[in-house]
Amino acid sequence: MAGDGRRGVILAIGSGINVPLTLLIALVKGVLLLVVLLTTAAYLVLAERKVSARIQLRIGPNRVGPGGFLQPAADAVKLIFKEAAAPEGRDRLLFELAPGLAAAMALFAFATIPINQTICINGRGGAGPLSAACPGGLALHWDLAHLNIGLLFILAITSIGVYAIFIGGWASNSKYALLGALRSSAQLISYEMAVSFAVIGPVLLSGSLDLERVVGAQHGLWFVFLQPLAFLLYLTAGLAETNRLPFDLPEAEGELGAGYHTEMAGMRFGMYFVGEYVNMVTVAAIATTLFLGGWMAPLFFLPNWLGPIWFAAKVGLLIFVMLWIRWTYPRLRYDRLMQFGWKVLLPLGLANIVVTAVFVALR
Amino acid sequence: MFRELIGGLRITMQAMLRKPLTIQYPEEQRPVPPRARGRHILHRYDNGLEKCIGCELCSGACPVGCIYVLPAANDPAHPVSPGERFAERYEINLMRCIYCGYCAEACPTEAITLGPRLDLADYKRERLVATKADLLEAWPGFRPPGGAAGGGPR
Amino acid sequence: MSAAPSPPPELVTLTVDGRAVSVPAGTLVWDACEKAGVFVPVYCAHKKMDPVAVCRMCLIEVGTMPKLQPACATVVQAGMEVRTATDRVQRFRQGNMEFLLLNHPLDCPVCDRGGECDLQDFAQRYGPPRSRTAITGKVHFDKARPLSDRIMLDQERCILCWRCVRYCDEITGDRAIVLQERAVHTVVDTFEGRPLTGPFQGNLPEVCPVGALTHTAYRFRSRPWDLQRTPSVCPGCSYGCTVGIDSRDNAVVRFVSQDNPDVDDSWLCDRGRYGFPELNRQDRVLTAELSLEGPVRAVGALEAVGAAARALAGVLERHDPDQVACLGTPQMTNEEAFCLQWLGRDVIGTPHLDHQLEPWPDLAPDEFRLAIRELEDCDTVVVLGERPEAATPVLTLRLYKAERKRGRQVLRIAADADPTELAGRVRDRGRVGVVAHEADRDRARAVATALAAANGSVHRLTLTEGMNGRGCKDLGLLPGLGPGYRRLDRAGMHGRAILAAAAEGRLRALVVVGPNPEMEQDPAYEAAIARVPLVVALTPVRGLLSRHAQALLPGRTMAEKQGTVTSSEGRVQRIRVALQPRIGAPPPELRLLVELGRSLGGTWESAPLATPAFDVICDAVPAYRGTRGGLRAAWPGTGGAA
Repeated sequence: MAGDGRRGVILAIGSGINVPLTLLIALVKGVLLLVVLLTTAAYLVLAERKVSARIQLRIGPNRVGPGGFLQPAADAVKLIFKEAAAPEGRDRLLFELAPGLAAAMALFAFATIPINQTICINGRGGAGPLSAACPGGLALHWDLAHLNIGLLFILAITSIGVYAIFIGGWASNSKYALLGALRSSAQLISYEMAVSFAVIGPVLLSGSLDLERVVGAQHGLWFVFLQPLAFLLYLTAGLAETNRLPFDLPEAEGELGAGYHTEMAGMRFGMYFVGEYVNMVTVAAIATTLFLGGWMAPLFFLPNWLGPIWFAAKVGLLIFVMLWIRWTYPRLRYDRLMQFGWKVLLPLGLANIVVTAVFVALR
Repeated sequence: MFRELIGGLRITMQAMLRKPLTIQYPEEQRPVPPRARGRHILHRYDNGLEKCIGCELCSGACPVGCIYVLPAANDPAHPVSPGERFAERYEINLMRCIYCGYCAEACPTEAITLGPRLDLADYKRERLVATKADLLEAWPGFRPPGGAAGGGPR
Repeated sequence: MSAAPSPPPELVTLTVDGRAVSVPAGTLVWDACEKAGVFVPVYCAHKKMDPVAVCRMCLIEVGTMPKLQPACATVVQAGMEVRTATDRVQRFRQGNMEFLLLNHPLDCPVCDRGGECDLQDFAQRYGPPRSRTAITGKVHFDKARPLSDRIMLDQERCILCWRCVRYCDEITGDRAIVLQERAVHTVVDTFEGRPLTGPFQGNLPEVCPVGALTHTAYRFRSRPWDLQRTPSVCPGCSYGCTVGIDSRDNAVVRFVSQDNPDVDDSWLCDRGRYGFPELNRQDRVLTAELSLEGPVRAVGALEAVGAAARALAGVLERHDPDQVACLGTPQMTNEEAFCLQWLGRDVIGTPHLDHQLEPWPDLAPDEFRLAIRELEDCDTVVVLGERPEAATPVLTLRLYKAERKRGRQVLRIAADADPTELAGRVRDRGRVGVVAHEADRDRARAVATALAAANGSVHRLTLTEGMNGRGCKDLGLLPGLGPGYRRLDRAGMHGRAILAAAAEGRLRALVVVGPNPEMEQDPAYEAAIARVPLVVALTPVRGLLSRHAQALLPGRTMAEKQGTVTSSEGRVQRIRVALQPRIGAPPPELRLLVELGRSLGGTWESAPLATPAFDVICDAVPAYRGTRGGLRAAWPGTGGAA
């Protein structure tokens, strides 16, 4: 996203008519976000295959395009043209709805994540870190919807994602899918707690649910250094939230076929797949925002106006760690998974909140 | 616990930094070991005569019964093999063959051996029944009697 | 039957490897060992020939005798103690094998005998683990020399067991093969190098324990492990020799003899043995062909049966059943013959049925009274002319056996000899057998009557033409005689009369089962069937019938169907399916005949299959009960002279 070019375009349209311009900007941002996220998800699949190949001393996909660069396109074409077989006795409406819901909620959750500081156009406000206010000018927020309770919104939306999984498993009229969905709901609800507790640390420190403010509060010192435990908790629970190894019990292929999406073929499966990988990006993006200083340059001498680049790099790093973990660890047993969530992550999260709250109160 | 988790990650990271072992199969091929048992070859003597005498010992030794031999008597004027007998038809069902090499072991004249060719996939079953013409070693100087393919199926 | 029961022989008890066994006095140790269940390897010994003890393979320890004794030539004695498994015996066998293999070429891969060779088997079992002689030092002889157009001789492979020499001496008596030269130069060869000519050459490769004598017809055709063996009956003549049909890739590659002491005594004639290419003929009728109206078109067999039945019904509506006739063939099985008889007589209602050309007045089962095996027990056997032995060649070997081994008198007289002066030439006044061909049955009756007046006990054996000529007669495929020689009120036309009537245009329809070699050689046959407006023919091969039939039904050769056939002496034996019909092949002939009869309104009580049909036969002809297992039919009231 070239900030300068965009600024020129917007200036040409003019600054007087605010409402249509805001709409137009929202539309452009939405389309851009959609394109970028979907492309990222597609290439994440490639990245996953490449990383797994290298870990296993292989090369990975390298036949479609140079170095396998066009593999995602081939995968997409295959998924689209595949026969969408569906089981007898399914709930027809919910069966069609669930994959869409999964993909939609994953994309939706990204709406409030800022990937750069707000830029004030034609206003008197500077491009400072806490420059949410832009009197007289047009504040260009680098998220789709600027909410002052952005974090809460994300937690709410990701919780709806559970419905997609459960509905899909239930509507399939298949024992594997249903068992996968049951496990999935139990797991996601359990780890939702851990996620929520982990994010309360940064929220307490920054005193806001506005993600832009949370990032701003990390100026000079990222929260990962103040809240290392919360970061680890969040990352661990985030893996569980995205159904990834070592917590991929909902789709444990050795036991359940493919879990909740066993009966999904073609683009139905594709939607779940997209949703899952977009969720990965979301989890990494939230972790970046809450703990790694969001768009801020990693080192003080690096230019801060490259915000989106820094953001993307941090997200990319986190995603790589997630891939790396996936291809390193074996799957947990189900009872261990639940035990870990409730008896380890939750108490640790609580303890972290108490300590942080005392710290904030004493400060 | 953390030591082990980090240790695991270290091992996979080390693997990631190593050179992949992949051989890009159709383009680059691993050298076939000298005693590998691939598709059969029917050999000839230096003078072009077939080594196979149609004795059917290969088909008798074959544990899956994939070899069919129909022997016939040599025409002394235009012999196909030295001696009285030759294989008029020699067919191996490569789909049924288990490449055990018993045929080569049973062969009294070392006429059949298992060669280095391992890529035997095909779309037609008929093409996977190897006939004598498929299996026979080429011999450029050999002029078959009557213009038939070098002693191939008649 | 009429053989006087000989007194039970005296039993002698001996032990073989510690096992006590009782055998009649005079038995050879080799046979006693077999009875005790102890295997003794032999090359020269043969069940049907006298012992010579030249191969030395069967040497065994006997009691306290200092040297080893040949089991094949030592007669048992009471209390004899035979040991076949001692170290000494085994050491000797090993040495003997080494000796036999000394000059034997390394031919096994190209030898037809490989896989069923005694030399291979015993070398494996008793031979030394490795050879001490170099391959280059072997003595060489002629290889692959044809002795005739049927037999190849490879002198190198011969181990000089003398079996072929003794076969020509003891079994055929022609002494065609002899031993020549001495010592290491000894070879078997034909006498003075003449080509073999006899009609029994095919037995030579079978008696040969190695691959020295081989069949030209089977040369390099197969290996024993490729072959499917089906026990059956030789279709060559009415003698009823049992054969094993060896087939590969669903084609017959050879006939092998199966020892049936009652009939063939393990010998086959060349005509029968090498007649198998007939079963592999390619010019076959494989689908039904209809030309009832318009041009020939191929249809399914059962559809053609229906069309043929409608056409026959049309003829029967417009004409008298007398204007329809049925012709069979002596190549049919009993079940088919009975069914055709049922179709013609009961369903169509015509008296004109036959399976041969000439009439057989006054036919009775007495003409076949004498069993083949009983020829050996007759003091004198009178053979009328050359036709019996020409029709059933293996008879010659049985007569030679009776003459040579049993000391019987075999009188070969001209077929037209005066029966009255014959009585003086019969040597002993004992049991007399009269053997004649069916064409000479009137003379045979005269001879038998004359001899009976002089001697008393005279039995006749009449040899019929065709594989199952006897069965066709037994089951009433004859004018005027029903199944079981039951006399009928309405006399019909015999074969030649049917052909004559057809040629004159007096027949409206003809149901023919072919091929009938006797009729097809007759010039009147083609003219006759070409004249009949409706010919329904059932035949496996193309020929006269397939050319002239309006409804042509596909038949099966004798290797493709099952059923029973009756030999001249009345032995009912099974033939079995040796060549599997291809998928979708028409049903067997019996089924087609039954369906034809049923379509015309007839009632066939059983399933149209060979085994249930045989039960129907047994109900109609009680003599056929109890013939299962290859026994002779027991005809009532056939005592005394014929």
